[in-house]
Amino acid sequence: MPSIYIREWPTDAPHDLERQEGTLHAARLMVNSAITAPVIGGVPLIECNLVYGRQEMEKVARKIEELAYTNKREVWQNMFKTEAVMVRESDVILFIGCYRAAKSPLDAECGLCNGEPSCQRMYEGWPRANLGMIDVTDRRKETLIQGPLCTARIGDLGFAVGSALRMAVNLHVDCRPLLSASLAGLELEYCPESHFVIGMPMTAQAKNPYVDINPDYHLINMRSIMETIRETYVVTRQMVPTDYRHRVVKPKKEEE
Amino acid sequence: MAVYEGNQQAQEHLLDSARNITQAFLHAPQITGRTVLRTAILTDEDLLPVIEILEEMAKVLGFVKVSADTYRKAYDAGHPPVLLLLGADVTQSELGWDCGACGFKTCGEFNKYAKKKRGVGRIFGGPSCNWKYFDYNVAASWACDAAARFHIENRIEGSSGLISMLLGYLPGCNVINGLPLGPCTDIWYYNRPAFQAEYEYWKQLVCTSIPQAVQPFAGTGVPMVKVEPEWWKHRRYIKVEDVPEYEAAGAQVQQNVGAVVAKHMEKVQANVKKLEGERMKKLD
Repeated sequence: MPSIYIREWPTDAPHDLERQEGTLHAARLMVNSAITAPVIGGVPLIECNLVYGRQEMEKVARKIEELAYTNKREVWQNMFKTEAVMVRESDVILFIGCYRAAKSPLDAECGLCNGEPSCQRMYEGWPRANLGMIDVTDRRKETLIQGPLCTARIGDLGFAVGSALRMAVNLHVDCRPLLSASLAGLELEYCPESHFVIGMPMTAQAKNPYVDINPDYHLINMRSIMETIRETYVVTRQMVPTDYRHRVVKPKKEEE
Repeated sequence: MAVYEGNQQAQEHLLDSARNITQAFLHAPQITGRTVLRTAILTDEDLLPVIEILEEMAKVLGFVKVSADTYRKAYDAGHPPVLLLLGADVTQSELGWDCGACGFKTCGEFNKYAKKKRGVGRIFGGPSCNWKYFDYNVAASWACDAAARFHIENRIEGSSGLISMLLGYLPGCNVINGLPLGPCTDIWYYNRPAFQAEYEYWKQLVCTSIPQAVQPFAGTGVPMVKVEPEWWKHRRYIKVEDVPEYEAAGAQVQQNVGAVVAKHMEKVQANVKKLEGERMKKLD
């Protein structure tokens, strides 16, 4: 009979890769949930990328670390460096982007972006707009996100992501949307048509890697501790006396 | 042992469900961790001002007409929905992320602009921080999901939220969505069984909103729509022009809405005072 053996440790061993497969299946179902979420007018507007595997996680984590230094605030830097570790501990990142946030605004003069019944802010905020359409071909940007964006469309993305998160809860998979993963996904051009992307690292492990985080997490985390133990134990081991082939370990008798 | 009429119990239970759904709204994860969510629950005759304003707006807004009939029929049948108002004030960003999504280079610049320009559009107030509005919508999504889990017919909407804002509920919030819960039936807010219209109404919609669906050969440069089955006998053409009577009707509706708000002002203000009093008590 075929058999699938699943166990969490060590990371990326064959039985751990089997475990990660489950997370990938969950991510696919979350995409369904995101697609069917209620949005204004039922208009399709999201695209998704499922990213998995150790190399991809490392790529995203490094981009997050790079982005940590784009803002001088210590809170930002700490948050990004911490979340890079979380990404490294994840199985899959689900990126969900909204491809209508720039080039296809709602045009309902809803008031969200400008506080008045007008879409003027959107159309005047981009260097080129004509025939009631926005030209997004100039992708040079001075900020992390190229704006202004149609806030109503961002709200729809919120609905889609909320729906996906609910599916994650139902499937008992740990998942958390992170600012750092979102910006990294945008930089790495996942969800390539989108100007606003949400990155949600996911995993199924005994301990949720996205909560209960110690300070200096980029320095003290499971991986770094394991590396330290490997170093410390290996060195310590070499200081024990006697050849193991002739060793009899006798507990010392208590003197009467 | 007591006996209960089950359908009536289901209707009465909507208020308890609204409480659970509010819990789901408040429990949703946030990226910013800074979006403060607010709620209120309207029931029974406190829905009447909302319905009256919906009916006024329905004179010029097709989407709202559908909604107005849906609410009115449920109310008149003695099965009014419980209206859960989901709100937040996302007009300021204390995040310091300087992301650029709002079109400004820094949160500081956005905050200055938003303070000066704060106002209301056709559905919501603004300007808004995109990340905080995103968080608000994740939470609203969880509220809708919770309602679905309780097998309650529901449909989140901007119209009842906007009307609640005009009436004065959830003061300070620039975004309010209404989530009607119930009536307890199969489908009420989809397929819109309460909304009756002649086929001509649909035909008019197709010809005006999606004329491409009924357009013959476009090579003349003067596009037609095939309104009648024997359309060649009576040719109708598309023209782009001002419709001053529609603009005037819209302005009149705005005035009428103001009158309805004034009519219910005293009662609503008393409600708002009570709600704010309860909210502030909890914060002490």
